Amino acid sequence: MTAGEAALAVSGLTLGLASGHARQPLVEDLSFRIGRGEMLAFVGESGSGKSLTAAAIFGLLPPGIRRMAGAIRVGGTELTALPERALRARRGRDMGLVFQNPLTALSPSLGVQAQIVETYRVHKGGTREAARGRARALLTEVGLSALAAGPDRYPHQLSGGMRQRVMIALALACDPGLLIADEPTTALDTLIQVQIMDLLTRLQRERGLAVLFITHDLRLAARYADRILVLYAGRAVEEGDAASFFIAPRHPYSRALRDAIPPVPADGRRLAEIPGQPPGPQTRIEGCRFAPRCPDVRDDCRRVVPTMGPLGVRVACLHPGAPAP
Amino acid sequence: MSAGLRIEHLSVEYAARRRLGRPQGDTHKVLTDIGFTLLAGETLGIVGESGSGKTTLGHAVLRMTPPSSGRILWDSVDLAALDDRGLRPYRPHMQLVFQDPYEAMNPRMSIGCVIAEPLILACGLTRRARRIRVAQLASQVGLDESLLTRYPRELSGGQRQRAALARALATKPRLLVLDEPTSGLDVSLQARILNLLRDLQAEKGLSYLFISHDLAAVSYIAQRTLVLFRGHMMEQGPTDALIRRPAHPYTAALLAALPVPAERKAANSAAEVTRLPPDPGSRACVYYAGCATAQPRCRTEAPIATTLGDDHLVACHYPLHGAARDF
Ligand SMILES: Nc1ncnc2c1ncn2[C@@H]1O[C@H](COP(=O)(O)OP(=O)(O)OP(=O)(O)O)[C@@H](O)[C@H]1O
Ligand SMILES: Nc1ncnc2c1ncn2[C@@H]1O[C@H](COP(=O)(O)OP(=O)(O)OP(=O)(O)O)[C@@H](O)[C@H]1O
Ligand code: SF4
Ligand SMILES: [Mg+2]
Ligand SMILES: [Mg+2]
Repeated sequence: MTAGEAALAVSGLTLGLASGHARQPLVEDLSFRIGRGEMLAFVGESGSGKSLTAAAIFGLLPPGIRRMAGAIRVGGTELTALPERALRARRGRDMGLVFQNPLTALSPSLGVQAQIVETYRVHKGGTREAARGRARALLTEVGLSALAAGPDRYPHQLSGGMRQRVMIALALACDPGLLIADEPTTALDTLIQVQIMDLLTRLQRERGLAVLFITHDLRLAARYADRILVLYAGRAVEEGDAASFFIAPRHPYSRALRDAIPPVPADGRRLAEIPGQPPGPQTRIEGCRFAPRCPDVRDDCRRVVPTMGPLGVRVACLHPGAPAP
Repeated sequence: MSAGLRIEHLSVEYAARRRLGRPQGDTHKVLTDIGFTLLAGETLGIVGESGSGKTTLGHAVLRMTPPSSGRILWDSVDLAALDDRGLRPYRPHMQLVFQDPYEAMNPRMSIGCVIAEPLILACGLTRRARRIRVAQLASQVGLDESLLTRYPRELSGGQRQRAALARALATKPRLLVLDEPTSGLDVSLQARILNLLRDLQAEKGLSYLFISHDLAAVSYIAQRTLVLFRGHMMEQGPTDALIRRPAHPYTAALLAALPVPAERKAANSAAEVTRLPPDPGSRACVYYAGCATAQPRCRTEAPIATTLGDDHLVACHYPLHGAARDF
């Protein structure tokens, strides 16, 4: 990777159904970058295309879904040009993946330390002894020093939070530069959730890891990520600095998402609802896809497709709110 | 206002799952000495981490799980003392919305039949009257009538939650136990369900036992909140007081974990406490191992609930004072 090269650069990514008659791609013309040591959060309603984008980057699109356009560069290498074999070698070495339910990713019949050893040896080779040392170091790094020192344990013998830590250790086994975390804390208790997010933040800083953090919790994103990208029905609608985002989101959809979160302590006001539903892939909408639900809609919104702009103004709206002061 | 529901010294024990080296017939206590009052037309939030006993509490209140001791007073009648037959007239008054509505629905029944089922069991309506009632219930919860002929798996999460609510309302209950009604939903659906619950409550004077691990949702809907930890009540009181001035170290830790965007990145992550958990059977406070304010006394003597005034109770030897956190 050359200096100044982003850890991940996606441009013009468009994903759609391989066959069939969807009128609309599932993800359309999506572009974003994540630098070394940076965390970008993807936020959006269920079905907005967050997981599909992650799958495309990882080269693991579900059957029936196809990349129709776009480039994906990881650590300076264009992945979409690689043959499947080369891609498979990179997966797991250059990128790690952590998702909501670690039990589906961990083998139930093998100790967790042994699983890290296996993963490491598949990608990096070396002696079993060296791999074992590496596994212990990783377990210690993710806060499981008791597991590193003691006898190996099966996944079912661990708590949910511990399993997620094991998942993270496994994802980091080969020292990837990029970590994709798809709803990593959704299934966990509040206190554990904070511990896992703190761990991810620490790794991001200490290792210079680029993190793509997928969540529908705007509040969690605003607290932990450096930048936030909001997706709506497969399109990016706003990208901005996480710190100012919660205070002054500019896209009407981002604002609606923020206002739907109950404040703590309660302020006595009724929660704002977003009327209607996001359009499915079968619905063709002219102009802005949020127009049918938008409180600020005007005539031109139904004709002109708003775009994000290259850099600087990153809000896809014809009539955005004022920027943060 | 009348006291709709009053719970006194409620405990629940389950037969211990059989494990090697454990005598059979052993029990483990899942709820210990819980008490609260839920007024008609009000909402009590039940908060606690996974496994703390929230679902068990909801089920025990509805007598779906037998309590091992304690009283469940419903209009001054002790439901805990009644047998199945005695309970029958009270069942329609209180309904449950299950934690996972999909699991609780018969996959081979249409949504319309799912909603109608309690009507068939409870009262002898004619088929026609039933159909009218189901349509009425669906419209009350904002469920499109065209969805009534569909099957549970064909509905979205938000639609299924509405259907579960319509079903629970079928017998015109006065109390609803809502077990994590918004946990699987994203923010925009959550906002709608929370608003819907509020509207229904205002319209019908319903009481809610609102179970959730999300303090934000609870603070929006519940006038009072009870915090559970390993089956023990840690704190209960008016939600606003509990959030602005948490008295129990556990409540304070839960609040500190709530992501407030203004505080960036781990500024206030809970301090790591590395104390070993107390031995089973010891007299220690159940929160001792995780507590940031514990003192030696906490290891030898379990605190009992004491009042801080204003219906605010806390089970801690060293309750916190003043605002733990600025919002
Ligand atoms: N295997 C598949 N076949 C067909 N359509 C799919 C498939 N997987 C996802 N989709 C569709 O693609 C869209 C985006 O799905 P995706 O899983 O990326 O959403 P998401 O943003 O991750 O949502 P959630 O928050 O619920 O996880 C949705 O409309 C979904 O129905
Ligand atoms: N039928 C049962 N037999 C034995 N133990 C049980 C049974 N049901 C629940 N338990 C145990 O009782 C405790 C409390 O469970 P409960 O389901 O009430 O917790 P909860 O607070 O609702 O958790 P969650 O947030 O995960 O839904 C747990 O330790 C659980 O393992
Ligand atoms: S009694 Fe002691 S251990 Fe228990 S919560 Fe209070 S300070 Fe902590
Ligand atoms: Mg997803
Ligand atoms: Mg439960």
